[in-house]
Amino acid sequence: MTVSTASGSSGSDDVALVEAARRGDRSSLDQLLRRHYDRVYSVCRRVTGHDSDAADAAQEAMILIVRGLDKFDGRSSFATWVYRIATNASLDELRRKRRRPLVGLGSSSHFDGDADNDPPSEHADPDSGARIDAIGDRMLLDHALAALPEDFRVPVVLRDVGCLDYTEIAEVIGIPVGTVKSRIARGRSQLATALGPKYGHGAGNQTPPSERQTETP
Amino acid sequence: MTDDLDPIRLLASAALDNEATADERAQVAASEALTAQMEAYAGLRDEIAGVDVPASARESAIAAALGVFDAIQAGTDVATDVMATDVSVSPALVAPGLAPPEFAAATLATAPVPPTAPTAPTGPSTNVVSLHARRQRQYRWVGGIAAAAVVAVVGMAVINGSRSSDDKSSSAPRTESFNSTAKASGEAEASDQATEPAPAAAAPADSDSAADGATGGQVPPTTAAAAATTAGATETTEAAAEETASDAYDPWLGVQEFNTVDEVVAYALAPGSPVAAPSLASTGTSAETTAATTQEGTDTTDAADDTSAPVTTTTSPVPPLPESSYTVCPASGMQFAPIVFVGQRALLVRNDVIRQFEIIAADTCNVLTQFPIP
Repeated sequence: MTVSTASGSSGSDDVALVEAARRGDRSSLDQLLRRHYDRVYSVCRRVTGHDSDAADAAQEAMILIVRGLDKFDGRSSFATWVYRIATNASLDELRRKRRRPLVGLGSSSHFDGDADNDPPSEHADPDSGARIDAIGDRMLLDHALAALPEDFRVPVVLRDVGCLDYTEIAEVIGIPVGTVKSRIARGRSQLATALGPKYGHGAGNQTPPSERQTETP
Repeated sequence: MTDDLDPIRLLASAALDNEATADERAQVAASEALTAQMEAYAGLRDEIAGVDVPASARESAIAAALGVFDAIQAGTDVATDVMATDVSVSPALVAPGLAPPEFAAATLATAPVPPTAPTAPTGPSTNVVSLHARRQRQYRWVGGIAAAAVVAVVGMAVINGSRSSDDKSSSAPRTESFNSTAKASGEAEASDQATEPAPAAAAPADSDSAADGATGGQVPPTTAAAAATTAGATETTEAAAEETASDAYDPWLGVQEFNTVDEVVAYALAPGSPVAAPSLASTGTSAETTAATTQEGTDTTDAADDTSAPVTTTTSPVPPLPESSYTVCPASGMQFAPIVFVGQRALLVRNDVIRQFEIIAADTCNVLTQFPIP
């Protein structure tokens, strides 16, 4: 199952489920956890860069959510609270393993767009070529995310995977909203540069100075 | 990062996230480059968001969380350390003083949630262990295996010792702690996999002769409890033994601590000291002698052993100890006793060759100090 970016849960429903779970309603808790698990896992996956680490972190987050349910006071949305837990569980998992995600794929210089200059490879099975390309794309993305400093990676993931707005991200991470904005922009810029021209930042693909003088309506 | 952020990219990023002002949005709409950049970022966002979620991981995680919920409802949830450690804010990410209050609340959620209207679980029964506990369990396995190996080695040595009881040169009396080691190696423990003695509780230290009982093996399973009762231990000994079953056996558990050489000298020269008599002269030491050693030496060292080993009154010689990590420092036949010297694990060794008592660091076998045997 692939998580979409669309928001999948209603805040008011979450509050009702939280209240029911606090009263001991197991099925409400089950529903609440299922509602948020995929997004939590996705955040963990993108922060940790590993499937197994993400599974561990997401499970830890689920457990922490249950343990801290009585402490959720509703001042922020439940999703914000959940992603805060997921983010920290992911970072803890990373530190526990004492490694950066996807170590060993080489330096970021591998992602400078040179791949486009390579001769096209031929595949006996056209579908296998597409699959390999897809896997390659995922690996490139994983590596690019892994190469991204944590300070940039987490805001980008919370925005693009968790669909949190800047205020919520600021709340989760504990930094000003303006910092969130710049970190996300920097993070995306570095990711785009690492991933090549496909995302508008290929080698030497800088915005022309003339374009920087934007017109006023 | 120190690179300058292109304002175009900043604008495109903010516009993509609907975090731009109306003027900024207008700028983006009016610029092809900005629009293209925003669309490129949108593609990037979609790729980042596209994560395949394994169903097995989902079910496992939810089952684990519901298991914790059930435990909380039943009032049996004790694994609160996970909450205390794992929901700590990332120092790298958080500006000082900006931690949101509800996060602090989550961080502080270390106490078990009081049961409110407990309900029976409606889902399938799950035997779920937290990741923290799972990791701990891995270490317990390692510790258990190591403990089993120690028990096996000690047991072999005990058997060999009883077979070669005529050869007294290698069966010099040890301290009660080492005798306890032999006790802990009793087959009774090995058979029920309670491989470690319990920590020092409050038992009298007159149980050294239990080592002799252990040498004979064939200790009934109930002997340990009976012995513990005889020794004045409480009936909670088995539970205590279970608690510590996952911990590696520690021969220094409860041994005497000394902070000066004078204290060690007094201990070494005291009547009944485990290193008081020459090795050869002490061969064939009776259990009574050993018991006296126990009483006059350390008072609490055997409390742990009382929880898992029998107390008998046999008078067979104290069995030799295995050549394990804590017996390699002294030469064969030397009397020695584990002590803690200035906070360091050490061995007090009677070296009759050079007529010196030696205090040897247990981890390095370096001689820390020595003093003459009178």
